[in-house]
Amino acid sequence: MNTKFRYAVLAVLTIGILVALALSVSTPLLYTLENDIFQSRFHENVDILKEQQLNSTTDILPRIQEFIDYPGPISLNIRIHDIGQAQRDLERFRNSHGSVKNLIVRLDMSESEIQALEQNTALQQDILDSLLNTTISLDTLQSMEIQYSGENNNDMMTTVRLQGDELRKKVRGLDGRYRNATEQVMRIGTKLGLEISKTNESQFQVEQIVREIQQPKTITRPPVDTSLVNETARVSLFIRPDAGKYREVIEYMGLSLASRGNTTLRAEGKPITLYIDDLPSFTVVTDTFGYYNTRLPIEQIPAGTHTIYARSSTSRSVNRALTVILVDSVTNLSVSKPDTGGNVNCTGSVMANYPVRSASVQITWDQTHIIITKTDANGYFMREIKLPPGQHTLVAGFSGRGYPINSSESEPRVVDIPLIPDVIPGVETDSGQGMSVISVIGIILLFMGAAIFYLRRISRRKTLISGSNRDADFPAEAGSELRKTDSDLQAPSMKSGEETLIAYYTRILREQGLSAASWSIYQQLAGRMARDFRIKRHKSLTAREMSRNCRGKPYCGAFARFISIYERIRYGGQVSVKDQSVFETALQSTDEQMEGENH
Amino acid sequence: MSRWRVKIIRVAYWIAGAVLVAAAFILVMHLSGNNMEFSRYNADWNGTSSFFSDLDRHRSTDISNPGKLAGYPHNTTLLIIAPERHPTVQELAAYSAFLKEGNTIFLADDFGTGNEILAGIGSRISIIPGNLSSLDRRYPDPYSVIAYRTAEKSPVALPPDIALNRAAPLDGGAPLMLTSVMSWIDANGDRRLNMGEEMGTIPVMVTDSIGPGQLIVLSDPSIFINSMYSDEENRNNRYLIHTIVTRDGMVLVDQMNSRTADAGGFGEILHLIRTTINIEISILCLLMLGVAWAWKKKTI
Repeated sequence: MNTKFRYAVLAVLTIGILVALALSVSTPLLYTLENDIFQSRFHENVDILKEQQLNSTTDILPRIQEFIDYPGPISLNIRIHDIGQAQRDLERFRNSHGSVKNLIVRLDMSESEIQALEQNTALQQDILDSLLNTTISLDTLQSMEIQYSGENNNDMMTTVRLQGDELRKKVRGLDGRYRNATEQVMRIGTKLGLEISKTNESQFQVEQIVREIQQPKTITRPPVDTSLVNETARVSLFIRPDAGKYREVIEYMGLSLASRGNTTLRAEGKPITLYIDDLPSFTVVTDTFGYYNTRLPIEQIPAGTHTIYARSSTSRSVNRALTVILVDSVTNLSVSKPDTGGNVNCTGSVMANYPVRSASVQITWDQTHIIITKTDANGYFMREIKLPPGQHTLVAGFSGRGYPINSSESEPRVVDIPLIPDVIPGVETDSGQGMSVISVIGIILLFMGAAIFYLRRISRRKTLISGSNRDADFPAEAGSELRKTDSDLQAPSMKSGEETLIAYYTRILREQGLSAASWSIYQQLAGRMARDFRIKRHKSLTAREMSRNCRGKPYCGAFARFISIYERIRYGGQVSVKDQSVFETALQSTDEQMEGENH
Repeated sequence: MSRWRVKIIRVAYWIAGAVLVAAAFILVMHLSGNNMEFSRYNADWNGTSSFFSDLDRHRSTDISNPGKLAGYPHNTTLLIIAPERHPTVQELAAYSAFLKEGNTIFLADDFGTGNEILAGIGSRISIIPGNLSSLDRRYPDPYSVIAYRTAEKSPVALPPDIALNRAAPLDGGAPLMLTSVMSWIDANGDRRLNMGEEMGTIPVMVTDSIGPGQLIVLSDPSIFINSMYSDEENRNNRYLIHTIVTRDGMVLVDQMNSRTADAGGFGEILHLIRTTINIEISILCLLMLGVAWAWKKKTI
């Protein structure tokens, strides 16, 4: 009864747990939205926002209403290129939030007007940029002119003045074009009711700038004395700035004049060669006014002061000094993991104030092998190196020779080339792939060894047990006498060939009682079953375990019923006549079915 | 009657075993997860477990150190999602070399260290600190901004719109997706439009070319979290991510500097077991021995 009660309680609890699990599996209550106070600086909890959406009419509308009733100025930036997008956005927003449609500025513009407004605004911007650049250049030229005036360098003054004249010629007509563009913008702006006062002001300012450029403030200038060009020809040179670092751009410019008779002519279309430290560096051709101008970056030239001059076919300029300033560099190196052939990819860069291009980089491994490679136009280099098995240290270095750049060296990189290449594709290891493979093989071998040892040990023990208990475990034939193997209980022997199981039971029952008789019968039946199922050491198993192991034979059902009543008789306390009757029925049924199996 | 009792006992054993197995499974599931922001082991709303679960294992690879970025062909895509620490010189060099091979980097970041990566690889794009807000919103919160496709030509196929969750504005590059004009940068964080906060279209996804390589920047990694990725109403987010991870070449996922790699406690142990081949094989061998032992016990 107690057992039944316990099973009932266990069953109820189990069913209760399973039901609770089934009910909560779709929505596990790990947390509740109401109690969620998790604050994230990256995002909002969408589930909570969805809950709020239930009250959207009270939440979202006041925000829009606040927006509508906002008393101050609302700035809505619509860039000229975004007009189409703005129209789509406003339309979309008006559809979804009809209450704000009156708020939005109407964009009543035709396609041609939009294009005209866009083009004229862009033109205004271009003209303004051009004027500003010209003004800056003229200011620079003016300060140079003052400087050369003080030095009484008429040659350079002439060059600078002519360059200024060229710039002023370019400005002519810009004010007219700006005026046309402004008129267009104002026309469209007036039509649309846009604010145009600033456009008007800009027109006035542009005219003033153009006026100032074309009529510069008079400065005391010595007259250009063409008699100074007293040779058959002359070339001038000016460099700006006169100092720089690696890849900074230097502007070289000047004028080439030629005298013919008593007149001085500008040398048009003449090649001018720039010399740096007496070595020809670059050739440029003069324009129709005899003027030349080129911009060259500082590349492979050592740091220090260098002598620059220009030479035409007939004359040579005065010397100018260019100071090249030394800068530091940084060299980086990355080494890829080795492939199966032991090849590694060495990549890196050499950086100074700019990436160092076309520079020789020396990759050294183990301080014994040197490989030279070159950086590309972006300062990067890459080189594949084949390394033998073992650990190697690689360093990349930039010597700086020939550059205005200090030398530099990368951090050493250590790479392991395995003895055994990676043969397991797809297996990722952090380092030392060969060692990893070896260790994996080692682990597998270790476990296999342990398994073999264990199995052999078990097999040896079975052999020993089997040898010592063979007769007890496997009755020689059905109905044979059981050997005395149990020290506590000893079943009376069954007369071989003369006595049936029922007679044997009757005899024991008469001599020793029901309990002893049932145990003796159980031993007989268990022995038969053990032989059928080849169960070794069946005497170490309980009756219930024997019953559980009985599967697939016709007598198993009868044997289970026999075990059930057998346990009741042996361990159930007081035994009734009914129990004895049930036992005998089960005994008879089991015996018959086992006999049917030729036991 | 006794036969039924035996059957009941057997059924009870089976039920008890099933309950124990289920309990162990739930315990392992519970302990192997976490609640860390963007973590791939976080199955909650702010984790990225769904995205990582959907990744094609045959075409994607985790990148756990800069050396693993080398040697990929020109059509490979690297995903950098929510970087959290300053990138190292080696990482930046590896990113630059990766781009130099003609590959693509997709960077998704708003308030992390994405700017340092962008500057380190020489990009003109920058992520501007600020809360992007809009009246065009997916949920009743101005930070849940909807951005619209703007580019006719794009390195990846774009959905008509995507929903963001606390995005940041971008500067530089060619815009691929913009907010509507009803958007502003909420400078003071009060989620309202104030004096001085101007409305206008703001880029949230831009692209730039760095040498032969392509860089795509999205100013909100939150589109990868479970709640913004899995919801049916955010299917356009999923479409965008799908088009990125199903391009022609391999997909690499940066696990060197990404919040998605964060793991803690038991989850970290499981991750270590899964990623360390020696430990994994040892445990498999132990399990096999255990099963063999149990089987033997049963057959005695």
